[in-house]
Amino acid sequence: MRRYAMSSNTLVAASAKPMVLALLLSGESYGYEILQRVRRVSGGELEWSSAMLYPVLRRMEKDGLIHSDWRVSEENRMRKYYRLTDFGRREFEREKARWLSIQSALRKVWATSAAAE
Amino acid sequence: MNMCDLEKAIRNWKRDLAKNPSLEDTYIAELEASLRDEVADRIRRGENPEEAFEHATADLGEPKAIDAEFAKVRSPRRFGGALFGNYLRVALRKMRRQKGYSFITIAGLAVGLACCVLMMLWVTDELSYDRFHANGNSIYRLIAETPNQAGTMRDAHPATPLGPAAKSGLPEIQDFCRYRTSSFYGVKKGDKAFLDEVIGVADPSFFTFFTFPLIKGDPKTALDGPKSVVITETLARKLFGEADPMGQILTITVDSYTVTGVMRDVPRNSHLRFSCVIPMVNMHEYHHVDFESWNSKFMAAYVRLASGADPSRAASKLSGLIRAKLDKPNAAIRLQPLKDVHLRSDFAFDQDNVNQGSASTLALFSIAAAAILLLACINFMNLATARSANRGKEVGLRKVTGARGSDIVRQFLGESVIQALLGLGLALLLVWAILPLFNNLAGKQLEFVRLFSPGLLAMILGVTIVSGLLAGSYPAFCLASFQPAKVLKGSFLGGGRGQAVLRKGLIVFQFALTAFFIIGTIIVDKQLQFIRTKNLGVDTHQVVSTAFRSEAHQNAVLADPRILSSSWSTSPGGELREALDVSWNGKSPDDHTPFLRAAADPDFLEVFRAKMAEGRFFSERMKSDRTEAAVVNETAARVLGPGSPLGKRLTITAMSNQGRTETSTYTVIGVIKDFHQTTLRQAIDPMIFTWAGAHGINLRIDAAHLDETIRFLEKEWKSYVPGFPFVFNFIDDQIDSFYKQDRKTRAILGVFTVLALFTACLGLLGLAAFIAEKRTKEIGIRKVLGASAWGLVVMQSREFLAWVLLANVLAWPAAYYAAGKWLQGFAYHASPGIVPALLAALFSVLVALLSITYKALRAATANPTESLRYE
Repeated sequence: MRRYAMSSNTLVAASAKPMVLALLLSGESYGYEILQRVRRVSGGELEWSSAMLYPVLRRMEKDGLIHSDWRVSEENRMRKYYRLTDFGRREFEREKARWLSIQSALRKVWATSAAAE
Repeated sequence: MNMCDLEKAIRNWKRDLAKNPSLEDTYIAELEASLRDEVADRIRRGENPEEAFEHATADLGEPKAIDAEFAKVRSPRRFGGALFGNYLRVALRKMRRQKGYSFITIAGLAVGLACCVLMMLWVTDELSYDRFHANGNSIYRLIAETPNQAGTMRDAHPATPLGPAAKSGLPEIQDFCRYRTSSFYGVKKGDKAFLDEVIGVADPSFFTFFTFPLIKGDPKTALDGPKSVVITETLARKLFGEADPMGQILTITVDSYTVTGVMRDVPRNSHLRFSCVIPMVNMHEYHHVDFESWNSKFMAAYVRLASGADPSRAASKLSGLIRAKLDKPNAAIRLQPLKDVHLRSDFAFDQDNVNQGSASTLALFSIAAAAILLLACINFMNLATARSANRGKEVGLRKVTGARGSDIVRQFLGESVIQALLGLGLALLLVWAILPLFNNLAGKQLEFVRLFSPGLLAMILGVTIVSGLLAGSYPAFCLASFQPAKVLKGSFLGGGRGQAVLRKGLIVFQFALTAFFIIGTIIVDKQLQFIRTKNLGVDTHQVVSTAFRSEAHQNAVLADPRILSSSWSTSPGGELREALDVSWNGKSPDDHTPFLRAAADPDFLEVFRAKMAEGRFFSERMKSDRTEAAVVNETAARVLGPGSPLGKRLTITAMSNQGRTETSTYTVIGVIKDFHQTTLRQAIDPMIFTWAGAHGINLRIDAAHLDETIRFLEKEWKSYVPGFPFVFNFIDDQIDSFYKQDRKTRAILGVFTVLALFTACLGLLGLAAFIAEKRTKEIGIRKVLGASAWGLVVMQSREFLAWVLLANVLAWPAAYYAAGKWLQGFAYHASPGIVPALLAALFSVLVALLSITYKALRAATANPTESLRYE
């Protein structure tokens, strides 16, 4: 397993599912592309490894959040493409709400702590 | 590193990954795709292939670490659901693609498993007999043994006083109980009468000795009163409905008994079966039998040994006791464990041991069932190895992508176990469908639901999995050892020479086993035919034995013209007791030959159409014949010494029907020609006839009016003996019943033969199809060159037929040896001859031909242009 930059492993693991859901919201994608996009959107902060991503994809597929199929890519290589299921879309909304509420709570706490200092 | 090296590096990397248990093929494929993307990216960014590969694999991490990550989502673990699911998928896919072959393997396994499941059901049922008694392990039945010239006479009824004497005299015997079913007829209460209820007569200790739990009443005292009766729940409901039966009075025959206990119904797996029990003192009253006489043999006797007592020591002490009491130096007592009574009894006077089983028959059929399962496993092996050419490529590919030999073995074993489990599903359906037929053949009441008792179910699953592993073992190891390079190059096709020899060997073995079954069935059938048609020396057709309850009854029946003749006599087929002692002038003191005692009036010759060899039979005109004359059979005449026995004086000591010892002297007036008194298993015994003492009447009925005469007899019975069941027996039926077990054996053996033949033919069909497929091109060329369809069929069948014939030849010695052993059990038997062997050969060749010809004909009549385009 590789480094997770500054982030703690647990946090990265916890955010993997909402991240994949969010990335697939815009359309289907394959493993390597997802890894690249995560790196891009986090400005290099988050660097997922394949060893971490594929098991997550596997579990999400098992849970019915995403669906996959093998296809030949434009570069003439076999790739497994993932896309959201309807259930996955609904789960994305729920995840988003949960993370926003955590984020707003943290913001408030930090604001008060900053004031106290 | 050039592109070629890169590919090689990726292959090696994948092989490393494949060594990790959690990384299935599909994960590896996806990781590979990712790796290739990363490598391509890096090369695009200017790295050389070597650097790109190194960095990309480093980014992915160590295979072990990757494996650990995947292990987290992979559940359950290896050999668990996921893998099983994978095997199931692959197995199902293969089956869909090769319906014919799958049918052959699965149907074969199903038939084999169905046989095994049936046998397990039967065996567990037979072994469950009499296991419900709390002290069962220390209870033994006493069997009296008297050696004679032919072997040892074993009697299920030992001397009546032996039980009590043993308890009071031997410390090893803790308790005893005597039992028999009585000849009392009918249980009545008011206007309700039940004439077929079996009435047990026993010592008062019956309910404390055996475990037949009482629902009401005290087991210790229930049979203390001489006129007490303990009835089963079912009989209680029939007699009293919902009312309390305790203390109620009911009538057995003509006497009144008070209900002192209600017991649970006798379990189905009990060798003793009855619907009520009365104290044995009643038998004494009814028959005036002398229970104190050591010569009386009326009851079965059971003893319970004290804890720690040695059964063989107890047996020798009991033998000593009986020798002293009977003054017979060669008499002995054997202790038969209670759990053996059902399966291992072959004794005289054992009529209370209901629904006897046979341990040897059970063993024979268990072996037969296992053999059929083995045949099915062989089919599986044969077809799987034969078709390995087709799967060879798959295995080659898997090996190239990094699968190890053990993975291949596991996969194939998994697949074969799955096929066996599918076979089991089909087998259970089969068992469900044929169980009623089987029950009918075996005379059992096996229930399908019993299969689902945990012990039996575990056993069935065990056998299924083991046979799956067995069937899959050879193909699995054989496939796993393929050299991928050879297979993929196409130089491998359907196994080498070694495999072909093995396949032929297995086919020969299958057909040898089948021929063995066929020959066995034919010989058993021949012997039964022999029994049916053998001249017994007497004519028992259309002779019935019955009873008269009064002079008027007798006169009314005998006056009817449809009764051609009648005789008060013991009848052929009936069990006879031997005389306690027979002596004559000039008898050697060492001669202990037992003589059977029979009774007959002058009409015996006419009723049974027996013939005299010498002298004359009893005559009404000779008054002294009634008390002083004896007729012996030819065997007895030989025992009496050389020369004519006529005029010899015989002093006979015998037990009367009441158990008293009586000694009388008779003069031999004639020699009757030998006839078979009992089964053909036994040699003809020496017999002595006297006039007095017969209490059964035998009637020869006009064959033209058989049915109406029986109806007439029944009508007369009902008018003279109302309220009692009509007692009558065809002597033929009685003699026929000796061979009931043999007929069952023949029927079940027949079923097994058909199944074995079916399974073996399935295998042959599969192999013929495979070979026809392999020779498609050859057949096409031959056709183009002018071969006829018929010639091609002959060409394809010739080899198979040679195997089948070889199998038959191999089976002959074993089959004849086994059949000879079985026939040895009969003192008189048919000679097996060569015919069964020839018939078996003919039959197996015919059936084999039928299964081969279909495929061969199809191959031979196919359009040659198509066969040539094949491959």
